Amino acid sequence: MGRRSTLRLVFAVWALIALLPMLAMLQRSLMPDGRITLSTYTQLFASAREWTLLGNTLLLAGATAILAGLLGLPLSVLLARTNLPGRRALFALFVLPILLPPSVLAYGWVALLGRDGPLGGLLGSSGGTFLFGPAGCLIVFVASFLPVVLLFTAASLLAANPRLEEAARLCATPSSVLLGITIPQVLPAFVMAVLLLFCLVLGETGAPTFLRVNVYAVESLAQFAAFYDFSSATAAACPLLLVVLLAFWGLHLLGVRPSAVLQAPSTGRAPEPFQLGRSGSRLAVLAGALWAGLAGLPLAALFLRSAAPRAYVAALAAAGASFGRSFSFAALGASLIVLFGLLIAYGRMIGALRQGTEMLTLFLFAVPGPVLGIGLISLWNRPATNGIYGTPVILLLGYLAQYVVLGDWITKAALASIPRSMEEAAAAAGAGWARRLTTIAMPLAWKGLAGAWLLAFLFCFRDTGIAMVVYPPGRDTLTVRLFTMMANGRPEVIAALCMLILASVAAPFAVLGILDARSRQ
Amino acid sequence: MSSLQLEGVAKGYGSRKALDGFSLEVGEGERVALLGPSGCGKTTALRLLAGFEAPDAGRVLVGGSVVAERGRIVVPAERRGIGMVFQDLALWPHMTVRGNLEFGLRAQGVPSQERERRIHQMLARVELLEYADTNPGSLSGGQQQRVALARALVLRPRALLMDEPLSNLDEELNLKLRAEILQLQAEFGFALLYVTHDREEAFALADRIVLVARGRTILEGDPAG
Repeated sequence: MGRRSTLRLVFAVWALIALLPMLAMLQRSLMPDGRITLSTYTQLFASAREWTLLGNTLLLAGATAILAGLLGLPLSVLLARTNLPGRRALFALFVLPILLPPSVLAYGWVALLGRDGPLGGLLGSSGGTFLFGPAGCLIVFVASFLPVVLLFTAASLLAANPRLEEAARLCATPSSVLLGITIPQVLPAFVMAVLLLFCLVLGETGAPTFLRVNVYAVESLAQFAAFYDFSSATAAACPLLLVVLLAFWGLHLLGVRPSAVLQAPSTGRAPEPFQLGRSGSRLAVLAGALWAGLAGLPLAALFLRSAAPRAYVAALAAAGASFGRSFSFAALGASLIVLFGLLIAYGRMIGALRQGTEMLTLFLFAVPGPVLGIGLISLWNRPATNGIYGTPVILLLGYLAQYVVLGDWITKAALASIPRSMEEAAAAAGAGWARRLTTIAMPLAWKGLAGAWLLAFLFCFRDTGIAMVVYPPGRDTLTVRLFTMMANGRPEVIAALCMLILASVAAPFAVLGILDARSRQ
Repeated sequence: MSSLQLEGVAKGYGSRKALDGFSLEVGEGERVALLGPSGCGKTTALRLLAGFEAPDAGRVLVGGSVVAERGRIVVPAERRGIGMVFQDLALWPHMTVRGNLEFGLRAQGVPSQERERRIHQMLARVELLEYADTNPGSLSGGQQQRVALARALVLRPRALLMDEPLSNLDEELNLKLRAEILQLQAEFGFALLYVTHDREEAFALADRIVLVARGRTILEGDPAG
């Protein structure tokens, strides 16, 4: 089989793994008893409660997107394009929450402002009861998903052609250049980030459940887990899928294409940072205070609550096995993601796959985890496929479907940085495409591949949405165990477990940072 | 009086010295070509004059006034009255042709009616009036070159810096645009500092050629002589 056919086949396999569960879910909701009927939907939507729930969910996701957008755009400019003191460290701190399940931050906020929390006394006798509601959920979501806006917008800011700004600097002040040239350049990336964030919030279950906010993803999960009403669970999942589809249609109408949003820098020279002058230090303090307010203080409260060593011993005793499983599942998942991502990115680079395939991998990233999980069960829960359904394989398929975009985008950037002549020289020497890929392209792009693997590992490790639905009996992951313990565990043990999760994601994150710093040198 | 002047300028990037005690003078209305191989410091000289960077040592003067010296920018780029055409043209892709011309006029506080008049006049001059509301990305290479020229000249700069703007064009278009640049220079009277590694281009466009290598002037003279 030739190079193009093989790469197309790889993409087709991934697309089947990712899309068949959705189709199976639709079929299950439309044919609960073997005949086509809309009864599940009519029953579900006859209830005013469902409409209210959907409205509240969209409101919460919309409010999070607006707030994170309002904070994220200026913050991205400040951290990526100015000479702000400590901007690299601040950027890493602001990005850190995306690597944690939002339920960790939710627990941190309650640990901080609850009646026994260090700042709980400031709020009077009611303590932080407001956290148990939409307001608390909004704070947690903004802190957790702000990094999506930061990462997309900052990447676009750094990839912009510096000549465009220089041409403007000849006739306009720095603020006019920023507003008239720089920001319009990154608007597509910003819009895409905000819409993606909106979709990601739709799928969150852990934090809303803990904060007692009933959102649609929780409803879908409850229908499945609490009532084991699978038809209703699938019917409840479909509206979320429809909303994500509409969001992506909106992106298409706006003309925003992933390939156009994240491009490699057009010249070797990085754009010149905007000078902040004397206000730089004050802005750095403000940014630091914002991070402390969103994520730093809750994490510090968790640390204080978990201070006793016995809490860590108890946490490891209660969740040690889940830790091990999460590590191994995430490592396997990341390896699959990088393998498929590399082949898909390579296929697109040589023209075997269309640019539109990028939108599909991004779309799957935005599909709420529980929706994908329910789809996976719809497809694989059959006697003939119990080897998949009853084992961690189903979880790995979920990871591959949802997070392949990470492998796709990062390896694409790494492959694009290799001069085409390298591979052409190998071809002239008689090497076939597989040999060229493994002995020329992959060794030259190893830093990008390692970065993609680490990031994919982190996302699989923090995953709650898919794992919550599909984890095989008796083989829960760490995030599922945390979720269970939050309902009835001892506070100091839960806090210690949160700290252990933080340490687990911070270590690979630091490795990523070191790799990045070295590649800059 | 000199329009543009570099006095004993040094500029380095890490351990690499781009310019090393480099001096240059361009008189009012004069056409000077900086000729030299890639990496010899030609573009760095333009960037110092434009105001994008400050010299590590030496002085930069525009219109007889010091605008940068020894690691310090005294007059920022937007107040030097210099236009520039970049190698990749750097046309703003999110603006129309008109928007590209209008941005600078607006930033300089030119009143609306005057803006319209100058844009119309300039686009008519470079024969792009019918493309005023077009996105520059959809224009041909030659038309994009003319937009870049018009964008720089609509601000009536005292000097125009050109960084190998014709290097990516085919020979026929290259010759046509050289003639156009000479016509515009004669018409508007700006000083022209033209960077190129193409000897023929330098001879065709300049009154004076400065040969640069390793950040220093090697030879200087009149192409006719």
